[in-house]
Amino acid sequence: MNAIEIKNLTKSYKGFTLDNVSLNLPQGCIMGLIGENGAGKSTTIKMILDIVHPDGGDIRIFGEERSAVQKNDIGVVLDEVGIPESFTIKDINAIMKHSFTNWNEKTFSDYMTKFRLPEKKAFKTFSKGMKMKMGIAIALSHDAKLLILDEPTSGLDPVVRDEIVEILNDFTRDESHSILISSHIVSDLEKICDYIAFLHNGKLILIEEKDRLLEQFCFINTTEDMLRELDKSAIIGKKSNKFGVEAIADRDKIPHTFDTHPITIEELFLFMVKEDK
Amino acid sequence: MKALLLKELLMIRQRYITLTMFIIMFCGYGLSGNFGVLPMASAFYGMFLFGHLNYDEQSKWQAYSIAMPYGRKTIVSSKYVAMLISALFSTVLTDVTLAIAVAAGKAEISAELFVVYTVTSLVIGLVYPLFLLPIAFKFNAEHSRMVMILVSCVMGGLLGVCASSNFTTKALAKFSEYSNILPLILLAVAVVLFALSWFASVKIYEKRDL
Repeated sequence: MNAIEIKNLTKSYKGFTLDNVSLNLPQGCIMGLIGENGAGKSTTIKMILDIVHPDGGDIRIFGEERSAVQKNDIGVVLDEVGIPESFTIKDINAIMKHSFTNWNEKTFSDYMTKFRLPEKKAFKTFSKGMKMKMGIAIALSHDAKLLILDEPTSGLDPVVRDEIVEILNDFTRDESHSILISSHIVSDLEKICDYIAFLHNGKLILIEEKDRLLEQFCFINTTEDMLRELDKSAIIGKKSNKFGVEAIADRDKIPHTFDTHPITIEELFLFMVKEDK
Repeated sequence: MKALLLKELLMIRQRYITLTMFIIMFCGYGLSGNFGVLPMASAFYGMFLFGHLNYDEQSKWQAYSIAMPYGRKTIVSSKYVAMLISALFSTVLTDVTLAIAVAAGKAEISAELFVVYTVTSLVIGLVYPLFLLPIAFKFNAEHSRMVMILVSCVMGGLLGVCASSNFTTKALAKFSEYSNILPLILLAVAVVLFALSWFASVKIYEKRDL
């Protein structure tokens, strides 16, 4: 079963269109939504959560139409954690206890201890990292089966980012748990994702298993002349300089004689985006 | 909805000193014999809750609450229930102030006039936010803040006029001549406006992208 099914999702704003996006997140998997700022990641996530209305398309969660009750099973962290600024941990617990049918006070309390969040201070005094940890603690304290995270590591230092990646890894030890996570910090997603979806200028330009991408694509160092001899579809992106051409190629479409090097998802993303520009 | 109402209450706590000062000021003014200020004060209590919409948008609560197990209709309805509770609270304050004033021999108020004061407090407490809420749900916090400032200026001006000219007291005394039907008419109008405002806000909010 798919945790999330999106078909032909479309949304138009002045100067931006999210164009016909379709993707499936299989249950038990982590999908990273990658794209530069303004690519449409947050718009996609907000439409999944009903915060923004799509112009067209269909979204299903666990195979069902979206509903308010269903959100008991979805843990959400938005790019800004929307807690009223004057609230303390006690207030947040009181609100969430009466909001989520499966709210677990013990789990929440354990996360507060684990994250060393100050018990009596108002939310507005928290640092960006502490606020994000609070958002994650809330998302993980109501027995959610699906986490939807919009830029949870943005603006955080590497230590906190690593902690968050660890927590997300723990969450997916249960095979029924799934995560959709967006970020423009590709290296974070590369550590944890099973699937990668590239959004660029409102279009989904690639969606594939991460391991498959790493197997399929490789770096080649060559010359412009040799590159011209290759099938055009073999080259995903290239950078030319006075010493030659650095390109990302599809292994299956280039001769075995080429000297290839493994790529990272970040490199693949950067080459694809720059090629388009 | 219980959690959403609790959230409003916890947010009031943040400004309890200001609210307490308002209550003391209005009740004190009322106790000195200027009863006309009491129904008008209802609008100010409503303003406290109305201001939460601005805080909600600033803290991104609006988007976050939709990601929680709440439909948009429930979110809108919680604001209306909170406004109703605020109006009832200010009505009780009006009645208690009047009762104390009468008991202390500051004034003599007929039972009919007492009913008129009670109903007017309730209706003003309701009607003021009923016009502002659909605007606030339609536009962003900046728009609603501007509308609130504008309405607050008007309310402040009205309050000043009422206090200085004793206009409200005279008007209410005049209304009390029709006290057998006036409270019913006022209540009926308030109920209809409440229903229309709630319906409009739900429709507006259900279509809004946050």
